[in-house]
Formats: sequence, structure tokens, C-alpha cells
Amino acid sequence: MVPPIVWIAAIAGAFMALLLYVIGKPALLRDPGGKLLAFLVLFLAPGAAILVGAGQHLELSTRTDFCLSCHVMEKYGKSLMIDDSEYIPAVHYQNNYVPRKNACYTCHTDYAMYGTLRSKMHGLKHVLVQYFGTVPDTVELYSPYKNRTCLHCHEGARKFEEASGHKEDEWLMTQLKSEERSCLEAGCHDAAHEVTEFADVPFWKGAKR
Amino acid sequence: MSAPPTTSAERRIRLAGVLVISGAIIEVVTLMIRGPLSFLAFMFVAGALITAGMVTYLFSLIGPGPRAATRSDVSKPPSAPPPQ
Repeated sequence: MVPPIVWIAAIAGAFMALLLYVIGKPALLRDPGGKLLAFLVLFLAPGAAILVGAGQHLELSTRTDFCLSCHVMEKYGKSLMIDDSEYIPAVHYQNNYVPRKNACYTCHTDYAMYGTLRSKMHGLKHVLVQYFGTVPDTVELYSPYKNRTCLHCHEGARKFEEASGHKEDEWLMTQLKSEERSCLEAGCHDAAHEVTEFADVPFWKGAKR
Repeated sequence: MSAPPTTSAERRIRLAGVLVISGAIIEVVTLMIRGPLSFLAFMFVAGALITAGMVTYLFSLIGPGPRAATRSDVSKPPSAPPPQ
């Protein structure tokens, strides 16, 4: 079985060869066949190349190593390895509750309509600030963290619905689902990315391979 | 060795091809290197070059072709009938 990347490379190579042919003989635009060829290699194929490239780059930008490649995010990445069963990001990362290779994106994207687009625009702003602006000392969310992001996975899950803390107050679940109360409010799951308190914290060494 | 382009449309086609192929090469390079910088290079260099090539190609379609009409080719409009 030939891998898809080989087909993509072969198609791209063929278009490159046709493109070089058109560059070498621009006079072929005088013939109907040449016009069609020029339209194919100078309009359709470049358009497809931009779309495929953008999709591939957007896919790569959802990866944890992409987020942590900026210096300012290193300590946030380190917080995923804290050895504490109450520490929300670490628990999710270390127990594979979120895919490790997309850990940041899974919890920091907006699952609403146009959420992905909004997240990508925020991400582009982060990249531009990283290289052309001034990185702030404290990284803050654009808006308070939404329960919707947690409930995207947890809602309906038995462990979540039957947790003693969630069943104590009969209105709690209603309030959580309507965003009246935050999952991260004081006294609940308020330990998330406290990156200034790393001095005496034990770290998980990682799974044995 | 290819013959040099003779008309402005052919020159634009050649320029469009050079822009598109430059952008495509940079796009391939950015896809092989992971990181925010390659993302920016894709968006602002490769994307810009490819788009510029496509626009140049479109301009070559609407610009004067290899057999552009000249003033001598245009027949005179029929004279208006004398007033009665």
C-alpha cells in the first residue's frame, strides 16, 4: 500500500513540472489547451496548495509541542507534570483524559459555533505577540473559563454525574450547565496552572516505557 | 533555452509562474519545519507569493493579449444620417 504522502508528493511534483513548462513556454496561452493548462497550474493548483497547506499548519498548531515551543508557555507545560491528584491540568494530562499531543488545545478551544475560528484567531495573535510584540509577564485568558469546555467531555459521564461533590446540591448541576457557577470557582476545582508556586512541588517523572 | 516572452500577457504568465513556484517551495519547507515561525512564514511569505502569482495570472487574462487591437484595426463608426 502506497502511503498518501507519496501520492501527494507525486501530484505536487507533477504540478511543479507543468508549472515549469508554462514558465518556459508562456506563448502556449494562445491555444485553448494552453489556456486550460495555465488555468490549472496558475490558479486551481495554487489555490488547492494554499488550502491544503493552511489545513496542515492549523492541524500542527493544535499540538502540545507547538504551544510549548514559546518560552512564555514553558512553565505552563511544566505544570502538566505536577504530582498532585487535585491539580486539574496534571490529572487530565497524566491520566490521558485529554490526548497528550493535543492537551492545550483540547481544554483551551471553544466548542461553540465558530469556536475553532475564534481560537485560531487568538492563537494567531499569540504568535504575532511572541515575535513582534511584548509578551506580558502574566498570561491571562481572554474571558473567564467556560464550563462548556469541561462539560464537552464530562457531561453525562457516570464518574462526573455521580461524584459526591456534584450530588450534594441538587441545583449545582443546573447552575454549572447554565454557566451561573464556574467549575473553577474557589473551593471546587480551583487549582489550574498556578505557575508561580512551583518551588517545592513534586513532579511526576512520566510513564515507564 | 526557452524563447523570451514577447507580449505583456506572456511576461505576466511567466511572472505568475515564478511567484507561484517560489511560494510553493517555501510552503513545502514550512511544512517540514514545525513551530510558530514556520506558521508565520507560510502565512505571510508562501501564502502572499502564491496569492500574488494567482492575481498576476488573472491580470494576464484581462490585460492586452498577443493580438491586441490597435486604433487602425478599429473601423470607423457609421456617420450619423443628415437631419431632415
